[in-house]
Amino acid sequence: MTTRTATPPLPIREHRLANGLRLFLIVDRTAPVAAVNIWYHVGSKDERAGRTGFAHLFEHLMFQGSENVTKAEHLTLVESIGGEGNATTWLDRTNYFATVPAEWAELILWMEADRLGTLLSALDQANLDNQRDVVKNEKRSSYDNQPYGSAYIELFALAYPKGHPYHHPTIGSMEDLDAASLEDVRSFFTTWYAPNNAVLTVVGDIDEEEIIAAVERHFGPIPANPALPAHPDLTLSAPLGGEIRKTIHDKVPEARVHFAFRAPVLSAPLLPAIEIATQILAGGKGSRLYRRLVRDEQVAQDVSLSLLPFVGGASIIVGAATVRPGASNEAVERAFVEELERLAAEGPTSAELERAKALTESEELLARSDPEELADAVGMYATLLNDPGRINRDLDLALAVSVDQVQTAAKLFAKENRVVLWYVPEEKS
Amino acid sequence: MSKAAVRPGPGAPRDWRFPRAVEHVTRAGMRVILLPMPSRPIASIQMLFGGGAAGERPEESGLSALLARLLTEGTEHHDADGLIEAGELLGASIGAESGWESLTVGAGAPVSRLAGVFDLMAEIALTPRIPEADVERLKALRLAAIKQAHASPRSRAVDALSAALYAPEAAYSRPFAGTADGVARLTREQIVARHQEILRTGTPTLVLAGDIDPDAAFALIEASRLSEISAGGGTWGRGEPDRAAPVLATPGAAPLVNVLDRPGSVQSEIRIGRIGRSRLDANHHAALVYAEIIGGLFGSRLNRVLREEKGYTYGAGARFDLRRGRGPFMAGTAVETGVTAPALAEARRQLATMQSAPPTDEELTEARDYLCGTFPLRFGTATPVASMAAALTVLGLSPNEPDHFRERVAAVDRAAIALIADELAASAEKIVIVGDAAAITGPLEAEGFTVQVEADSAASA
Repeated sequence: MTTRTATPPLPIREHRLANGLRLFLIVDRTAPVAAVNIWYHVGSKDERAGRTGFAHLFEHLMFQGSENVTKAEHLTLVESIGGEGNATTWLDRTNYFATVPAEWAELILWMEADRLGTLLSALDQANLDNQRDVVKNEKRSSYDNQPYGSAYIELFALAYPKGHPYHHPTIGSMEDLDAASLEDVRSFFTTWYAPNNAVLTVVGDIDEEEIIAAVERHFGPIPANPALPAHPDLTLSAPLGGEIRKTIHDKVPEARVHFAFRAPVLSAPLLPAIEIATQILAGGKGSRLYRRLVRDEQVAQDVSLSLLPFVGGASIIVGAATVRPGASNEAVERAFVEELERLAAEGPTSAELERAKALTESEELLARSDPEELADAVGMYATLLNDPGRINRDLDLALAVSVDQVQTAAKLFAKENRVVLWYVPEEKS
Repeated sequence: MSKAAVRPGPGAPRDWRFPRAVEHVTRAGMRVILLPMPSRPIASIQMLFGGGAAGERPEESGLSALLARLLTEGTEHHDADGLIEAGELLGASIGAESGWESLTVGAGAPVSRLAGVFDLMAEIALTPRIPEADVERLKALRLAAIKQAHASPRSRAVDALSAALYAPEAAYSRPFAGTADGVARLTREQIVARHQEILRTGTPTLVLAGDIDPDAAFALIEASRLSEISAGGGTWGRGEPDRAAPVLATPGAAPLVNVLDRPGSVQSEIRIGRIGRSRLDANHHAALVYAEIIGGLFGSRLNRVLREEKGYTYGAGARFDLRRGRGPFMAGTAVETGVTAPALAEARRQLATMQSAPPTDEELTEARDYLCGTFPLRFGTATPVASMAAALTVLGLSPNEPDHFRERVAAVDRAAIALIADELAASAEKIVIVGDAAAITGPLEAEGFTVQVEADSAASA
């Protein structure tokens, strides 16, 4: 049997400001760095009709200056102290993060507080127009000009019904980006960017008392939003209720088959078993799908399957296989689906389960060694589950997954819960 | 300015040093370099052999990469599946990969499982089966990957620029994983011969990092099959590197733009390159600072103007690829098709400012502080530490060199930057754009560029 590497729980210190900001601290002195991470509970699910892509466009504007920081100076300051920083927007949230030499942690806290407290004082039409152009080029670079670049947009649109907050992509549409106005920016900021809608996490070679004092000093004066609205209802009125199919003819080098399946939400007890199931099916060259499709039958060039967890309605499992020249989409889809259904019918072998757990354990231990990843995981669990201590139970939950639970998880791959998307190379004219 | 007055300054600085290497030579003469990292339970283990892509002739392009891929397709004691299962059971991810100068069998694994991992790695290195059927299968997969790369505007532009910068006989003119022509020609005999060669030549070296006790680890190595690997016949970092003589710049020549047609492209992928510096050059730290100022930092000259002022792009950058020989310096960006000509003109204008407008004090300070400050951030886990020590070893440099990185960078001054700028300007400029030729050729010519269009041939092949 697998022998566990001893992993004492990480002590998480919590401090709550009077304005509702939640602060979490983890001391880790193995490297002279501090990771500062702030999660705002606002994402593309909170966008209104006609303004898709706005949460992400807004994220860009957070780097365009505030009362005491000039346009585009934020990242320059982070870099000039020897740090790295960035931000991302996703369906449920927006996160801003920087990893810096530990002695500079307070400057980052101050900058985060400055933009949370005073963003609108620096906002102008020129900055909005400039970042709108930047974001439109991001959409072109990452989606429109890439082979298969539209796949995720299509899968989400098929897996969630029109009108559901997860139906539309975080990058938005060109028309909606064009429509965004300064008034939209002001209203979005005033509504969602408040200390009582934020979780701040600091991990690294820090003095807890100093960080708490600095956070009180810089964030303390920022008022809460007493009228923080509820997030939109994410309830799905019905299951997918049958296989949904679509074929896209596009300029792609080879055909590809994509899949999507609805899955339980982030808080569901089944999630660790789903992670293990995707590992057994598509995690590396020993996985069932790789062995059969890539190595044995040689109908696919690559295979993938992964869970993207969300907080309400349904999470999604996405998969793909690129079709080898000479093979057909039908053959690839059939072999892929047979492996998914076989896991649901028979469950994993105990040897497979043991290998998957050993790999999961190594990955978890590695992730814990990275202050940036750790801070982000605390932010996620505190924001979405109100349970930052979950990071200390993740590994135990994964190691406790049973053969039966993996089999149950694999039942999510059933035909009535399946989206199938084909890419077919466009005929040359 | 008063705005800076309210900003918090730094607290007490923390000490940092790169993990101190402890060395050992096995009974069979193999060099072992261990970098102890307390409280890092996942170790990185890298077994280095000679035989990277830099030594490949055009007709054997892709040989090292394919050999690396084949090493994990079964050994004397395990078939391919058995090998993977044995590794997974140890919680280890084991693989092999090739670079310009070396071929590496590597693993990430819990420090508690080192003994088993050592034996598996030795099996992979010493007794690969290299089955004929897998040679053909992996050649086909590699060819498909090359086709995928061609469909990506970024990879296509980088590959085309490399081919434009270096003479066809220079390995640096080709992707290190091989060209389609090269890979299609490879045979099992060549691959087996290259495997025998890498065991005999170079100096096989084992590099490991993590929460590992040196004496215990050395004893485990002697007790494992890694002890069968002998000293080899060569020396790292010797011999003539791939120093393709740079083509000299022609003063005042109208720049030629090589447009690789991608009909319907909504963006143009622009790359501007020159032959750059070698990692072995004493002034390579100046090259790093230079690259941050022109195209590394968020506030670099290229990104500030092309993204934050003009909104032409999601990002613009430039970097030196510092290899044993003189690797390329490449600047690049992806811009909306309609602004291709002005964006290219603006990018070249900014690149030229590195000679006409030397870096300001602020630029120099910011670039140096960024490089010095972020250096420790890169080494939080075992893999980047072992990889850094491995890369240095392969070049014949000391694994403790990173201890001097920050002082060398801090010493880079305006004169050192000027030297880099002059050296770059002396080598010929090459420009490649992957984009919609029908839409961008006219505007480029109107902007004064000479345009040469290459049809999208591989896509229809």
